[in-house]
Amino acid sequence: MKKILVVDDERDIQMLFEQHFRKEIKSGEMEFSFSFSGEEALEFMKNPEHKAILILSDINMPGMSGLELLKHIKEKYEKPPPVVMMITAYGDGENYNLAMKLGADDFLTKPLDFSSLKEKLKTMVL
Amino acid sequence: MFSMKLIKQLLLVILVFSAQNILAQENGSLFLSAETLKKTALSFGVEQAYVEYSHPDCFSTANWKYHPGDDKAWKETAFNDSSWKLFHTDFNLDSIPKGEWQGIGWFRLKLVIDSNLYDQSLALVMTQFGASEIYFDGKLVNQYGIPSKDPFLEKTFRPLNFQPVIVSLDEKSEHLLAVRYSFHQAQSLLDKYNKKYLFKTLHFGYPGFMMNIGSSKGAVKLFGDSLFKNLLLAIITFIALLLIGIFHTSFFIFYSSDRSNLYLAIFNFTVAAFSFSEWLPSYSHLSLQAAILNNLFAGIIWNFWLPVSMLAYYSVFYRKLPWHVWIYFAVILFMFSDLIFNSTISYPIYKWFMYVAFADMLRLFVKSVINREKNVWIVGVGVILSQSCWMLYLNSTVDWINTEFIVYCILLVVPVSLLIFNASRTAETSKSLEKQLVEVTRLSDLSLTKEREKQQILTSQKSVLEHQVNERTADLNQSLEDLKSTQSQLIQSEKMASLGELTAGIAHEIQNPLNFVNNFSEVNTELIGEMEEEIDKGNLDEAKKIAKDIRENQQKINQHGKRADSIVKGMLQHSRSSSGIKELTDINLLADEFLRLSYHGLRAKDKSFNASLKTDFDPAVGKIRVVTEEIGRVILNLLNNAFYAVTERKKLNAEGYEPTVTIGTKMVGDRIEIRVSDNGYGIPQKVLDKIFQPFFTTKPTGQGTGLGLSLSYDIITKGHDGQLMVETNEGVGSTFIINLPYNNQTL
Repeated sequence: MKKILVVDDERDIQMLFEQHFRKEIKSGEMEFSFSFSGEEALEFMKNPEHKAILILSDINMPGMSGLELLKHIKEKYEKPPPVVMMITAYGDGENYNLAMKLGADDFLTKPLDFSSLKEKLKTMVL
Repeated sequence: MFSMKLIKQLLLVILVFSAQNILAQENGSLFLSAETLKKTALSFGVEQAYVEYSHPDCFSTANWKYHPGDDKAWKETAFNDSSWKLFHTDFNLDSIPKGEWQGIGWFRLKLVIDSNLYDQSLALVMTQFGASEIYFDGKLVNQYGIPSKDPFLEKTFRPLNFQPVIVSLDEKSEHLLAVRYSFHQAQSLLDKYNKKYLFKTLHFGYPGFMMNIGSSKGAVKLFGDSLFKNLLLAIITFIALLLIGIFHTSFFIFYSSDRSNLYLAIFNFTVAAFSFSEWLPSYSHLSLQAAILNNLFAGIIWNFWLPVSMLAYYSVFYRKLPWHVWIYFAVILFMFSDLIFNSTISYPIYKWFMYVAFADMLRLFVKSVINREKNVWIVGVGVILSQSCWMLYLNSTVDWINTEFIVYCILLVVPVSLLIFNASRTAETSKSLEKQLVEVTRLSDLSLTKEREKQQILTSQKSVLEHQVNERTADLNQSLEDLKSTQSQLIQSEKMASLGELTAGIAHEIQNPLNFVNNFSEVNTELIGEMEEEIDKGNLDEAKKIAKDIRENQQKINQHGKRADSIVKGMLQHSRSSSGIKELTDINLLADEFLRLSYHGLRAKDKSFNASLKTDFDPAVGKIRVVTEEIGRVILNLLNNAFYAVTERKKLNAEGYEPTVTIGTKMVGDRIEIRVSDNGYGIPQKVLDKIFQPFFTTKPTGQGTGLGLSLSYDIITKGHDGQLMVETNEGVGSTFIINLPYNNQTL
């Protein structure tokens, strides 16, 4: 079972993910957690019970941005650091390079193509 | 002349003593011949005493024989008077032995006639103040007044000067002249005046008589001259002096700042008074008392002659009277001391002062001539002429000139010359005034012309200026119009600029709902497929569950569509020119919307940037009546500034700095506050009072128009009756406060 944390300031993203991954959630193939800001995500991850191995984070967020969150995660969780996929509405080179430099595992642009995301998550070997 | 008389009388006093003895030895007789008479006729002058002593042989008052009392027999030729004493007929108090004069007495004189006078006639000229009867060879030939033993019956009479009594001579060689003379008052009068005024030396009048004997022809002519020519001269002189005096007085009255006219008037009146007292009595029947008083008056006036004439003279030549003019007045004291103390010291002093005065007059005259003062020669001529006359008069033995005339010359010449000089000087003054008047007229004309020119220049300059001002005003109006249009363009571009900043944010804001719309539609498409499958399977419960999800998703789609719609509307609203219509607006919603717009706008520009957004909305604020797009613009502007401020601070990478922008609303009494805070660097004090000025910006060139805050200020204060304030703390942050009246009334 793949445990995935989604970080985005848009609350409707939860509903969207839950609907798109209905079957996977239902079958217990995937489990989703949601945080609506970088700070909330860090708080979530401080909980040792959490088993999130994949983090999907929006870059554009008020307060702590997705990139800062990435930096924190990659610095603090050495063994094994979770996979972090960055999502952004602006797929420009600058954001991409910065994300990669900080150790992002993938870079997705909005609007999300859920079927390809589903493929990626399914095939991803963790 | 009076001085002359004085001098002569002084001399007389001296001479009397010397001559008396010689003459007194004559035996009461007088020898007359044609030669002596000729002599006397020529020299028959005013001054009897003088003439008398010049020709003692024919005018002796001393060789008469006298007897007091009254006896008609004493007139007879046959009467033997050998026992009578010789006596002066012009006796005075000093010459009368005590008790000799008892009011009436007889005088007898034997005339010895040369044969060349046989059958001729003689003139007897009597001068007296008493009363007399004149007997020639025992016969009464004339009577002046009524002599009498009884004082109450006596009538005194003073004959006119030079009034002759003519007696005829036969071929006898001896004749008798007898005079019955009475003057009862004489002693008492003389005692009175001499005692009272101590004028002992100066004999102002003789109680006795003088009889001059001359040729009848000469005497008649002299009498005629005296009565007509000399009297006329005297009157003319007096009137002339008076008139000149009046002339100067009038001058002084009408122009009193020129004091010289006053002094000249005083001088003229003094001389006139003197001439009156000196001459007019000679042509009238004065009593002895009146004569004494007149002479006293003349004496006093005379004393003033020198100082007053010097006063007049100096006043003509000096602007301010010199101090030494008072010396001449001091001399008067000596003169009076003479009068009072019966001394004779004044005469030599006076004489010297005369010389000094004359010298000083000459000095001034010469000085004026050197200074080329106009017409000053007139005064010089006057003074010199007057002095010459004095000299002539003093040596009046010269018989080719009428002494009377000389005297009038002396009297008149100086006043007249001073008058003429003064007149010429006045004329000069008038001329120079006339010249000055002409000059003044010319100058005033000139200044008038200048004034006119100035006026013209001013007028033309004024019109030029007016023209220029109009031109400038038109230019300025044009510039103002240009500025206004530029300003509105600037405002528009400011709007567009802030919009431009927003574009990315707006794009993001629209993108997000659109993403949701797309994603939820996709999900719904999938869900519909699944639902169909479930229906086919007959699994209706499951299908219903899916349908519910679809409905929810459909609502989300709708919701996000609306969200995008409102963003687009807001953008349009922002770019649109202000409608100016106030409508009820939810301030909290507006603030939240623009917070997000602003934030995302900044994010869109600077991906690395992030900031904490805090909101602190007071639900009580609710809706108030504002021009929505304008207030939105102000909030947006303040938020943009706030984000800019924290961005700038963030760039310094200070450890632990967390950029935070807060927007909040609050009810404060009957007003609401919208507070936009940042934790940037704050606003430096030196620019604090400039931030609301148009075109003031701290942003690099091209990044800010400098109009944002100024427009915001105008919108809040002018458009909404509100206040825009700033609280700032350097290094801590700034808070902009919009204060608006709480107005939710519908119109």
